[in-house]
Amino acid sequence: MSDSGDAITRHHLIDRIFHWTMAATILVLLGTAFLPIAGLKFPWVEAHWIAGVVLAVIVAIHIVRAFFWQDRAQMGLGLGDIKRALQSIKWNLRVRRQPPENPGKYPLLQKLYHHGIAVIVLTLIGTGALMMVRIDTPFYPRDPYILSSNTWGWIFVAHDLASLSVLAMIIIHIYFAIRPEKLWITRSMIWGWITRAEYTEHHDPEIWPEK
Amino acid sequence: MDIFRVTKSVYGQETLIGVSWQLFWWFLGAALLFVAVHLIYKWLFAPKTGANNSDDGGATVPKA
Repeated sequence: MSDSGDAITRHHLIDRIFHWTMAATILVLLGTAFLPIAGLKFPWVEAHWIAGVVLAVIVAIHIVRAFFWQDRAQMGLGLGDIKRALQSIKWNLRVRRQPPENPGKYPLLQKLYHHGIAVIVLTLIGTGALMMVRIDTPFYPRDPYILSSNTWGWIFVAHDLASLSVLAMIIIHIYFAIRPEKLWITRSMIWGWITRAEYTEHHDPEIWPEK
Repeated sequence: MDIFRVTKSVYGQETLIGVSWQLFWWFLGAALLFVAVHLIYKWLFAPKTGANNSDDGGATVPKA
């Protein structure tokens, strides 16, 4: 995290490029998946697998970057998250008078959302990569008989359920992104920075210190 | 409501080909229901703070 005057970097440029590229590919994937089902006929297969390959590449880059260049502890779950969650529940139930303590870079529900969408997207990429064996692509020769019909069926089921889950998760994600009290987070995903006041108001500097 | 989509082979054997697309409306409905419940909760019941973000585990200093 760097500091330039009143602005504190929350998301570096490469992470914002990852986020918005992922958003664009997910929208292309959802559109090419569901619009033909809704009756809008167009040649969707090629756009779908190309967007899927782009998604797989940027997710792979993100995983490498997260493991070797980012502070993994900020996204990790710990006892502090449970403590703050209990404080939050008590505060919402009016059992506790003080609001919960500030989290580090990410509050618990953002971490859970990240891990949930990570499992879903990795499921989509894994099953999608397998399904590409059934069509003509530059990566490997078409061979739909490499697996049994029953196995293919369950791969389709996993891909379908993951895609429906992504749809629901994206709706919830956009809802929170446009809530008035969350716009500072959305702005930080566009421009990268938050103000010092937002930093001290929403984060614990001991858990997410300025570097 | 069917949960799965199946097709029949030339021999009459049923083959699984995915989930029923009727589930689309269930997933869409679940997401919209979540949004509606959260909106109502934040509007009517949530403790008020400066940024009113208690739901995400983050905290803010309450208004004096």
